Amino acid sequence: MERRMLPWKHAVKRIRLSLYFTRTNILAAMEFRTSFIVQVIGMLVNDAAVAMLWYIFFQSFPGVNGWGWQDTAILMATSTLSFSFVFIFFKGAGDIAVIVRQGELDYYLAFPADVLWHVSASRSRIDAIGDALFAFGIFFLFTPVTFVTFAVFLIASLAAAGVMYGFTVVTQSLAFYTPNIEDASRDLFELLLGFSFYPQNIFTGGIRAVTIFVIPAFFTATIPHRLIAHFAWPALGVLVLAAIIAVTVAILFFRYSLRRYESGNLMVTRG
Amino acid sequence: MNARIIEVRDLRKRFRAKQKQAGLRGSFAALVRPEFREIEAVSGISFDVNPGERIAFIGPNGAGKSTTIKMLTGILTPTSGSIRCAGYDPSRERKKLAHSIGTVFGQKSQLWYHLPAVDTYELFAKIYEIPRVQYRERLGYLVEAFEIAPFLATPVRKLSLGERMRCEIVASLLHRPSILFLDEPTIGLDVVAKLGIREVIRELNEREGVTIFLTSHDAGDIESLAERTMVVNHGRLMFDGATEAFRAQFISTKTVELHLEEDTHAFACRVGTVTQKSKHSITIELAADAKSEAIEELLSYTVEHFTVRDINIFEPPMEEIIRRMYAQVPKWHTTNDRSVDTTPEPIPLIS
Amino acid sequence: MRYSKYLSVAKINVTERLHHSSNLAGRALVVMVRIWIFTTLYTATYRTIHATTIHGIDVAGIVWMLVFAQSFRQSGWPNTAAIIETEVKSGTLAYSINRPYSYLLFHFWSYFGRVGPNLLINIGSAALAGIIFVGWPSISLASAGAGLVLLAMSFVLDFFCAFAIGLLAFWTEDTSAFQWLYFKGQLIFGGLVLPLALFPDALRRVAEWLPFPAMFYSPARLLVSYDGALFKWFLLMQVAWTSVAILMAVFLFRRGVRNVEMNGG
Repeated sequence: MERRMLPWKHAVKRIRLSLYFTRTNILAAMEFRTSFIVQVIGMLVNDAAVAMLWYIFFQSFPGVNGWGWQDTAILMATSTLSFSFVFIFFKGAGDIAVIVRQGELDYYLAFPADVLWHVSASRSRIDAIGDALFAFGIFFLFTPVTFVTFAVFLIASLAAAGVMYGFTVVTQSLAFYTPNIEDASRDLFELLLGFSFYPQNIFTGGIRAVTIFVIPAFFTATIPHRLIAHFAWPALGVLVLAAIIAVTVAILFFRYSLRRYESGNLMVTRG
Repeated sequence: MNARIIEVRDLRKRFRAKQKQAGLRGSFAALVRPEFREIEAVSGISFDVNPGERIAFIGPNGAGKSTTIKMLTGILTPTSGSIRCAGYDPSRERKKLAHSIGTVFGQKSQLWYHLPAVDTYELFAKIYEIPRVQYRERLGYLVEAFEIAPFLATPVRKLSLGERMRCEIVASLLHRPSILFLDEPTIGLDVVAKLGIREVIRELNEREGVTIFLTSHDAGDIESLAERTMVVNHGRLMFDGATEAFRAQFISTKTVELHLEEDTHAFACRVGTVTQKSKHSITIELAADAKSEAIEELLSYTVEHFTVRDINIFEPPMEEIIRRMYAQVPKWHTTNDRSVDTTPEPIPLIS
Repeated sequence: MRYSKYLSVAKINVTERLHHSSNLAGRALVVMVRIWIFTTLYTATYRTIHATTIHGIDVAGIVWMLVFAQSFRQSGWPNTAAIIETEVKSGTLAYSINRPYSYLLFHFWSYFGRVGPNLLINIGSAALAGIIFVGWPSISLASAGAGLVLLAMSFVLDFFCAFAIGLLAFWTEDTSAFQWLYFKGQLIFGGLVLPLALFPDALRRVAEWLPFPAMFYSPARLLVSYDGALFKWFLLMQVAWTSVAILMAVFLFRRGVRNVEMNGG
């Protein structure tokens, strides 16, 4: 059963299997048809409500430091798309803390697949589909759509998703070290989202530093918006680099934590 | 071909557990200056398993049983000692080993709850990289052997426990593992379903020579499935030999509980030892060898002199057996003493 | 004697919250960062239009309105609508068919039993953030009085709306869609992110007729700066909408119960 594979073929195989997982998750969710539709539409409405709120804001205040409604529309489109990308295809990453606490990690360890990838890809959030629909909707409705801006929209959102994924894995993997950290991990993620819909140029100084080094909203919100509004290669380079670093750190940290878990010397109660 | 499919030598596992005193001050102290306690969960276990054996691996909770299995399957790394399982070192080659072992947990399901079992099988086929043609063949064979065709397309949540367990076992066999680890496979099943599952596992072992490693608290599982029993307690192997020998040695008493119409103080049968007595009921323990005659004598005496309202006859629970076994273990069965070879003859593989 | 029961419910609530202390710290951090972001946003907003006050309210006032509105809004947890929905679906409600008013009152007092400790905890961290970022609020006696009256009424209004929504479970499988609409209404018009005072004038005049500003925005608004006319208006809205909600709740309850009796639940 051993096959040596070219790294590129390996990646393709992984991607296909991830898609297969997502498909299986969606099939399972569709067993309850109304609930499926309600979730997707519900999230769409939810996002639209937030958009409406900002629309009203910009009716009163056409520009804040030069940032207007269209900027917010772009920002919402890319942040929401990144979020939906992570949570449609790799939602398991957000459950790592719970999985570790409940002793379910052993289930994943019994398979011949990379544990982090298996955990991430095997779960999916249905309402995130609603987020994706919203993201495309608001992009096409309120932002200047050209072939270039659309391509940049997709690439930047994808890279930002990488940063989001890395951040999620690292914060969730803290559960390998302390029990009861799930809520805090989720709060940290909420903070990341929390920064994502406000006019990005209001953040300066200390708070800006926080969004670069602690809660990476600079990479998941600020840069993607800037790229779509005024594209620049260096900014794209920075974003892609950040994504690569985030994912690499996540993988390494998870692997290291997993090795510690396997040696059994953890404070966490195991089944 | 390597004769042994599992080789375990002097396996040890130590944990460091954080000590915490009760109360708020204790929590604070534990935060600032943590104290650790060393627990040796597994204290030098050694054994060999030949391909095709059916083994019951039993012991009370906390005995080191699940820790040992986790080390065998690569989930935990040993503190010291060596393991070779299906030709691999589990802690270093976990992924490769995963292709050769299958696991079935009675209490945790591997099947996706809202979908038919066949969807999980498709998924497994992809994860285990089973080529399409081989998968179809294998699935066809297993579906027939385990008789799950009628409910293959039914969502798992709608299956009965017995049906679900069959589907679980099929899931664990798709990739042709050479060893199957089963943990409480018949838990919660009714008598008929239990018999069905046991038969299916036995057949599997006979047809394909899959080595069976069973953990169960059900004496019936052990007796009907395993020709060899290993008992673990306090991190040590307390017994490793034929199940028959285990039974003869330790499942050696029967307890008879009588509920009588009349007052029991007049009960004067000499058979066995009275362990409990109240106004209308009496519990008698019958010793090893003279069981059947003893029961006959006891019952005829009872029926002759009393009116029986209710009667229960049972064997001591596994915990009880093991506790007693630990208390009276004879010297030649202690751990690491290889002077007596109790490994039974391997069952020849039917090719 | 009945009140001691609700006191113990309140006590259990506080202890439960305090038990997850790391959880509390996390929540407090999230709240503080959120207030920090609001402060940054509105400071920039005011600066852009070169204003120190809008409708008489300065940046500090806006931030305190948000502190209050958000703390009030989050105190109604766990969600009453979800609780009622669960009871309808599980049939627990069927036991109370013969005692509808005591059923209502029980949930009413449970709600307030929860609100108390929740409010203290929420206000604690949010107010601390407010003080740090914009300084102490300037609350006059009049604004305090008006604010407290409106606060009490807003909880009553929120309770009855949530209760009525929960009762919709008699007719629909899943009331979460209606709950969401309710929460979104609170988000947009309830002064949780953009206080009504900052709305475009035309829209604000229309929105003031909705139940949402009457809920948690009104006490927040009045606490920050007293305005007699506004106080009367919001009080009127609260009374009106609460009456509507109570009527809806009673109507839905009676109809729902009759449904259950006819169809056997």
